[in-house]
Amino acid sequence: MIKLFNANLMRLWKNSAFWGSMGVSLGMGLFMVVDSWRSAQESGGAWSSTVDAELFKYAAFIGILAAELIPLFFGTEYSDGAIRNKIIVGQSRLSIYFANLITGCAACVLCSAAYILGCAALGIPLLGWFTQPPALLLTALAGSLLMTAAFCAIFTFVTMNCARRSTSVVICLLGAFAAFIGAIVIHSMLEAPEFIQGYELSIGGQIVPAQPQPNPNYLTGAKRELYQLIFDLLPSGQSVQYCSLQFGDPARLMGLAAAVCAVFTGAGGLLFRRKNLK
Amino acid sequence: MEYVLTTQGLSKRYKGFKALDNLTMRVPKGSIYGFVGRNGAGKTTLIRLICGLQAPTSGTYTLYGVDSGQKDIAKVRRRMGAVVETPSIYLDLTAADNLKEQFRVLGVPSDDGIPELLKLVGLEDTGGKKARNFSLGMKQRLGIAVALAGDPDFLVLDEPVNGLDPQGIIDIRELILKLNRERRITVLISSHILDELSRLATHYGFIDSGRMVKELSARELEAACRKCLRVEVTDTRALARALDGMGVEYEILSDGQADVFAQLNISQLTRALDGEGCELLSAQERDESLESYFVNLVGGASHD
Repeated sequence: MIKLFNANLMRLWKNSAFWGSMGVSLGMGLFMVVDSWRSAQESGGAWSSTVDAELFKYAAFIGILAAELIPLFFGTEYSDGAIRNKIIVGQSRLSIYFANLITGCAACVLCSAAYILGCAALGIPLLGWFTQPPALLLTALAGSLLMTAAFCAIFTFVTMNCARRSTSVVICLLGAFAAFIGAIVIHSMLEAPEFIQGYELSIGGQIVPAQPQPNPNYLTGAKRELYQLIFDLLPSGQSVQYCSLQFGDPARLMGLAAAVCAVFTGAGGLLFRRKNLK
Repeated sequence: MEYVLTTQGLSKRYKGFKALDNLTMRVPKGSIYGFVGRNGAGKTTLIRLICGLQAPTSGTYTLYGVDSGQKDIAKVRRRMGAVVETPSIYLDLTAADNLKEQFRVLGVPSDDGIPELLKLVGLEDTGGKKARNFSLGMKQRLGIAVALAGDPDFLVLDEPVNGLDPQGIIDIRELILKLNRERRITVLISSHILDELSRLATHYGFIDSGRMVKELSARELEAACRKCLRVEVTDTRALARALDGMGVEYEILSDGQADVFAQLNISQLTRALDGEGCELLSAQERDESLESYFVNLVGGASHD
């Protein structure tokens, strides 16, 4: 598997989609800091931002980046037929699958690093030093990288079991956008207030706050737990949480991300082992 | 005889379609084995199975004596190279980078062998040109170079001259002959371009509807397709006497027909037959090609 990983890395190094993704990540890191600094300047000191607040915003787009990079990079092995060269010389299918998964993760981690470096390099001089405790930042870093691995596991599953590169690109991108939309919808449902503040007209003709009424859309009991589980399980749901540095139980999030990795890698490896290649 | 590849009752079934049906074949070591069949006969399916790209529905095959069911089959595959259908190359890499990539897959520690491989296939001057800008012949040769990266002693080529121009066909032919003669590489070539195959193959396997119809050596095929003069006479016994007198090889086919395996002077034959009281009714030169042999063997109707 190390040979395959080496070969993948060599190809990754020469791949324009990878360098494009690195450039986009670095550019996003710089843009986020500049945008935040400019907003603070324009508010005239009424609002300020910190570098910490910008540091993990890559979690919001790394899934989309992975959805484009992984099928483009590994789909080429199908479209150019080069995957055959690995099997013909006796490399096992599971080795090929794992080597590709690890390479995909490495590529996405490098893109994340490009964002973080760009953000920190410009953010520290412009927005000041970190304000959050190091433990929280390290937890967010570890958790967001595991979330990235979960995205990679899902997109590797699709790419390795879909013989057409264009199809896998479409599936991954549409899937990623659908997952993000789903996560945002669930997030808004979970964030809905328990009571709705109404207003009424007093006898004196003034508008005064009324007795708060229970919100019919407020999720309670098992339903709330289920929605919270889905939100925590979806890598896109985790990205919403890491992005804003507002995550409840990091151990739970990391455990769920690891479970997503294990399930998709196990199923993907099994399917790929049985796949008829042309 | 030592065999590089043998198959025993190999079958492959897709949804409602049997691509290979109990196929048995043997590829002798050191041979150029021409695998002949129409489109859809099962040639590529067999190649996919022996390359490990697909699993057989039933039956087994052996590579260098190792059964396909054994774990060691993966190790033995290290001794083979293949170009299945289209050349398996990264189009966004140069020829040298494609070979480097395959060297990494194989774990070859040094890239020193790359210039020699490129020279062998005539791509030493391609420099930084990406494979997507290569001609079809160049892509095919690069595909063969990638297949040769592991220094294999069994090379499988699926329709290697399909779509090539005449010069491309000659280049590939010369390359295959060179690999077989100089490097003693056993080559399995599937093709339906029979004329081209007849210039290369030392052994043949004819496949039709997933079944092996006949396996024979080039020498046996040559004997079966031997050039002859088919003569029609009034008395073949008289013809036999006349031909014996002339010291010529022949084969009596019926009371009035015989095949004569020699360049005959017709006037001389007529005089000799006259002396035996026999008349020459007709004489027709027959030269059965590989193509007509194949058509006779599997029937003329197309399966396409």
